[in-house]
Amino acid sequence: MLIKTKFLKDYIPDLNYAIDELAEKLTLAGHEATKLNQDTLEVEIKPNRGDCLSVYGLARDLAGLYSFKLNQPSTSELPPITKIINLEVQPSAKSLVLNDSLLGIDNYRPQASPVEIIEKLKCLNLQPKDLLVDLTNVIAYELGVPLHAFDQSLLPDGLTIECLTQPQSVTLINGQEVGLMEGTLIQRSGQLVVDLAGIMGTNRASIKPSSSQILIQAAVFEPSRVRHNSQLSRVSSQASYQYQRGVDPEACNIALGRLIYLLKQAQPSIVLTGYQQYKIPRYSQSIEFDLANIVRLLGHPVGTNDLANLAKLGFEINNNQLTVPSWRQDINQVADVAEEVMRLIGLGNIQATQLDKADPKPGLFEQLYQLRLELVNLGLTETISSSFVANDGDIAIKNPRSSLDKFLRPNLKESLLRVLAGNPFNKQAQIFEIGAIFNQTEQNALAIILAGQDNILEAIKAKLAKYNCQVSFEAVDQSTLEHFEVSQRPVWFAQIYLNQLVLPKPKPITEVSALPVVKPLSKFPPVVRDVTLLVDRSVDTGLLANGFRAINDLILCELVDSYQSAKLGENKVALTFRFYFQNQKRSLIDSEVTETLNDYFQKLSGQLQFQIR
Amino acid sequence: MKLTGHLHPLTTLTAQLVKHFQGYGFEVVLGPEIVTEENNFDLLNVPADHPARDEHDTFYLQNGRLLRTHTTAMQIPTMKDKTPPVRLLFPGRSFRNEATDSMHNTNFFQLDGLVIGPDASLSSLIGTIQSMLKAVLGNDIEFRFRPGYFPFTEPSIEADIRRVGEQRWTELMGAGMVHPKVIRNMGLDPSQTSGFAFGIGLDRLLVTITGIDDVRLLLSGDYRLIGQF
Repeated sequence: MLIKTKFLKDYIPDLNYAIDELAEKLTLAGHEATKLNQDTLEVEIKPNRGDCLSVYGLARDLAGLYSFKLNQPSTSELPPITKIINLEVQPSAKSLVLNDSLLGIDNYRPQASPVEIIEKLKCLNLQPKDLLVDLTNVIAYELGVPLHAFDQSLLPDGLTIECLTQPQSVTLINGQEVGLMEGTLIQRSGQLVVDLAGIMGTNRASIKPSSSQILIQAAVFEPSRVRHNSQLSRVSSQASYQYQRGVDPEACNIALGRLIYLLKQAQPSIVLTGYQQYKIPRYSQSIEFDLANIVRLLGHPVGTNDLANLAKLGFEINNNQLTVPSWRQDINQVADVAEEVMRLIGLGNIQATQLDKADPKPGLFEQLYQLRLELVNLGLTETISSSFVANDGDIAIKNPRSSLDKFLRPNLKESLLRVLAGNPFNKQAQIFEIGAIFNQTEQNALAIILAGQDNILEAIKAKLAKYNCQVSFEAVDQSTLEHFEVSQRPVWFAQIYLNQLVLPKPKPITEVSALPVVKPLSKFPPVVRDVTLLVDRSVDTGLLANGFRAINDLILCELVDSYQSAKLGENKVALTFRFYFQNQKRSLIDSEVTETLNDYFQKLSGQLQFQIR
Repeated sequence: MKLTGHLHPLTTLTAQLVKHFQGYGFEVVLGPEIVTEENNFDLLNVPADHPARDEHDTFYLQNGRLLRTHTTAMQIPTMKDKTPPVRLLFPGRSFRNEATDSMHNTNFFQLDGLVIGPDASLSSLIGTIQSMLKAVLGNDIEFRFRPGYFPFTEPSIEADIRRVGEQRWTELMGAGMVHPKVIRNMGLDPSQTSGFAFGIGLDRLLVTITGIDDVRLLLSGDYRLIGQF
């Protein structure tokens, strides 16, 4: 919801926060606010706080929490109760209409809205249309009560509210044609549907440039029914958004009084023909609460003053009975009251405490973590991939996002082949994944893919044999590799269900690596180079690799081979490092990478012999 | 060639968090990705006719089940076999049927925590969140807690963090006292039993720690990224 600070000041004249401070105060009250410019905020109202989906509602909450005086909206008196139309609520709708207040207006002449109304419409992202229509929208924004304007001359048979007994097609006031299903809550005049209740009127009785006899309706429908209506008709609107989050049934008269006040300012010649109301008796929510329960939930001392402060938010307290204001439909039990006490105290004032220490209880996660570490120590890299595949699954997604997400993966083979295909620069790769696969049932599996070399294949088999599992690798055939655009050759794959492994007794995790800040990836492909250095065995390879970090455009460097032989010389070792280069702005070419490496190693040539491949 | 192996950073981050919570006796529970509507929504006080459902864009399956939209879906089935006091962690993959961008992916990872027992209160929840985040982000962070809304907790809170000296807050996680209806759905009496729960998106936390600029990279298997861990 967009809101200007001056709109809030209409109700809180003493509001003296700078806009940044106001945004912070609203956020700390539970209404996350972002400053858009020096006088406008965007405020996110939570789904349970329909009472704050208006300028006045938000001002009321703010004033209560931060102890400001709250002004009431300027309104005019309603005309006397008169029967202005035949209003009938059918039994099927009786419990769904919480309030239906009608105001009759005659002698209305369409005209343009004044600038202050247009300014508020802008916050709703609406274009001005006609004064009356604009006022209904602005009052819904100001006070949180949706209003609907009918041309009363087009309602010769009055208004009947009911749930449709047979499907019907209508054209809404925005021109949209909608097929209404049986059970939809509607308003009709005779047999003509004039309103899709809680959502939008139809074109049958909407006001036109020629309309002068107007019926304004301030109705409140049961929130879940409006949601149902919206789902049945697949139509939503600002009104349905507000209704679903709860509109105060006691605010209808204020909204109509506000309409008269604003309309008379612009058009004093209007005539009020009457006011009538259908309303179910007000239900006051009353909660019996126990202070000890609130203290137990908050873990923080709560005094009688903190409880008394609930009155600032409109609650009435009488011993252990709390009467909830009509606009707070989210407050139904002690836990809800505890949240209000928490907001009044301020979360920043609640003392943090720690749970007592206790003995570790390691289980399957820790066992699998150990297995992962052992595979990594063999030289395998873990991947995690999407659970979705495009083809060939037993379990289909009913509402996939794209053609790539149509099925849940029946195995991990496609996932790992796609990882290989995404890393064509790695001619040798050793990858594993542990994850769920979906056939007739969901099961967890371990899969391994090796590309370009199979020198750790036996070590993997030996490792898994310790887990009492015989794993066999298949050579992935040429056509499959081509299908997934895998460039590495040859490729071996194995997959086993985790329940085939006998995992060792779980142990607590004792050591975990730190997570470094990463270098960003380029959208341009990397260039990979292997460099073999002949160095003294005493050289610290870690320090050596660390020095490489200074090389231009280097994203990654790893030691991939270490070879010692008498032929290399006494106390010498051949170290092969793999360098991954990339540039953020362009593709690198082979020759410039070679040159970069040559330059770097030339500087070290007194200490090292090197060979670039 | 003897290649260097790497753990996926999501595994490392989860292990860091598990290691932290081990010291408080938390037990890790791993559960299925396919769940029932009851466990994902209804029993967590997210009724079908409430707008809160709209915030969980859900992947439905042809078999009538759905892909869990949060690991909170583990709470009710796990508690069937447990007697308080309990301290549980539910790490794992979750799904949202929403447009993807650098901060959102259809597959994402969460860690949920659940504590049921006499020591569960808003005060101990705040302390638990602070110590958890300090364990993975370091001590130079500031916290801001604000009221939130989650149907399965009441009161609900959200936690923002920033590095000391920074101006902008980063929204990191949601939490709260387990809603009385959810406590009841666990077979417990909410007038006698308290619990707190928290949930944190691991992808987003990883972004905060490592500076990865696009969460989708985490599921790409790009060696240039995983090789840096």
